[in-house]
Amino acid sequence: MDLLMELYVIFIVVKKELKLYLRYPVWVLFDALMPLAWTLSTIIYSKALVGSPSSSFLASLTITGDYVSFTVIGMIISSYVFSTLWGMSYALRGEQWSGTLESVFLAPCSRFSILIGKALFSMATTTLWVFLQLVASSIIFNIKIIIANIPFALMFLIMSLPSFFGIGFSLAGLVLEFKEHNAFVNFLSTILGFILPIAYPLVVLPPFIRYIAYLLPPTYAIEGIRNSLLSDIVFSESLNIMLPLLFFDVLWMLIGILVYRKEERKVMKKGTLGYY
Amino acid sequence: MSISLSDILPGLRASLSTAKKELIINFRYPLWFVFWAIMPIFWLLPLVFQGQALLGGRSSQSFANLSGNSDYITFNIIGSSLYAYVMSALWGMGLSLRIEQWSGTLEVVMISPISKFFILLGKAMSDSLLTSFYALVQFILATLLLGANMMIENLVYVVMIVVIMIMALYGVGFVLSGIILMYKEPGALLNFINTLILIICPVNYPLRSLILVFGGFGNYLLMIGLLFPLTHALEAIRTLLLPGFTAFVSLYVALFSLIGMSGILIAFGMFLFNHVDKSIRKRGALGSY
Repeated sequence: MDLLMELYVIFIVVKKELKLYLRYPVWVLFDALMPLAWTLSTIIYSKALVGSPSSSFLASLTITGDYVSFTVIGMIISSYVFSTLWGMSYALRGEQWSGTLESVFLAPCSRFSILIGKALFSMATTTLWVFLQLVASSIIFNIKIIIANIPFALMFLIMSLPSFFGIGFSLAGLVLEFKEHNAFVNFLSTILGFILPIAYPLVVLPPFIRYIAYLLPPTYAIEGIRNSLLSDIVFSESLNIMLPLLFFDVLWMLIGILVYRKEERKVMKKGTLGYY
Repeated sequence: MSISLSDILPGLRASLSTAKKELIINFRYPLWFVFWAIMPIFWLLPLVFQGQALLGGRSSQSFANLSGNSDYITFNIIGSSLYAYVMSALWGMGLSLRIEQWSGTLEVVMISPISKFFILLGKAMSDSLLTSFYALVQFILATLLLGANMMIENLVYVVMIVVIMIMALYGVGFVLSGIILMYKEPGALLNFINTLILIICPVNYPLRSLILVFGGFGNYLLMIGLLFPLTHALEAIRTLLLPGFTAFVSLYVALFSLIGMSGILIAFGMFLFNHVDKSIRKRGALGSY
């Protein structure tokens, strides 16, 4: 029964977030079009560098020389990462700005249900825009993906969600204490945009940065989904991506719950929940 | 908003006070200060690694065909350093009065007995000072870290062009201040302009890339790109700094276009701002959020 009630809370949070989101149509339009524009700028740059549709050097480093498909898929998957960062860090800060944080905290339900609701909403809207991006990219850039492997790619995406949620919970907790999320998330997004294998494989990064990238679950999500969509992947070959992803799911979920609980307790004890 | 000669001296004093106030506020947030000084290098590095992954070195034959210079890293060091001024004109100048509103001081600023031009000028002065510092830090850091092949004997001319570009970009900033004062919520608009500039101006790739990618349609995009002062500044500065660079517009055309744009944009910006100022006062909408 309790579980059912918590699921109902998640559903209500998603519904509320959707209502709020649709009240700002300019932002909806922005979310729909801007990622495509950012991808466009990266593709023009790649084409200006290479001149031809394929890079033999990239082919020697990865599974493909088709840099357009490589980059578009990398950018699309990374949008899940960035939407988690912004969505979850803003989740409770937004309630604070609206003056509703205390009401949310007084609700007789688990705070994690509220956070999961917000994360699910963020994932759902991102999925919608990602789908739009994928269709538009296929038409504009003629990207070639292996349609039969889409279920495999979706499996990687679903497998990566718990670790994304865990990162999101940690962020929500930290923002609860440190309040100002803009500088922090801007910094984190910039660093991730540089470290993750979005538009280039990890092998071109200096070794010490590469090792940091291997500690981040989005690295495996991007690699797994991209390999699925661009090559005839064999299940046994994917294990070296799946196993670390499952490990980080558990690890980041635990870190996320612990960090959030610790930060929440801290602000409650200090009485700074309402501080701006 | 007519300004008489006797207004100029007190006006300039007001500009200096505004600039000083803005600088004091900026130094109160050292984390942001460090962020803007260091972070742009992390926006540049992905472009460098992308080039490494696609080409395996720092030379691109395609870049050479499009611009006469094959060194895409030096090309991007110049582009990203100058792009800092665009960010500043949009997010600094464009938002300046909105920030006064967020701080609850807009009404106080607007009733001060001085032409609003001088207040905007003060904000432009502090912004350009800070941005020049950030751009210089980025330029030096990137050059030391990545190496660059430039004709540094032309740096004096480059500084002159940067000054003219700053005037033109702050004209854009004046226009945006007026629009944002009128329509309030700036996030989506500024993000849109920011991205548009990144696509159609030669920040990361040569102007002719638009034709390479879009064919005939690229010509139209290129024409739109030429309406932005940044395009002319980048073309002129790269002509001066990059050996063998073949600009789409010649140095003199770029220079005269920049000077013309500065005058037009500042005059239009002030006209628009004046018009919005009168209009929102009449509607009593200055304080509305």
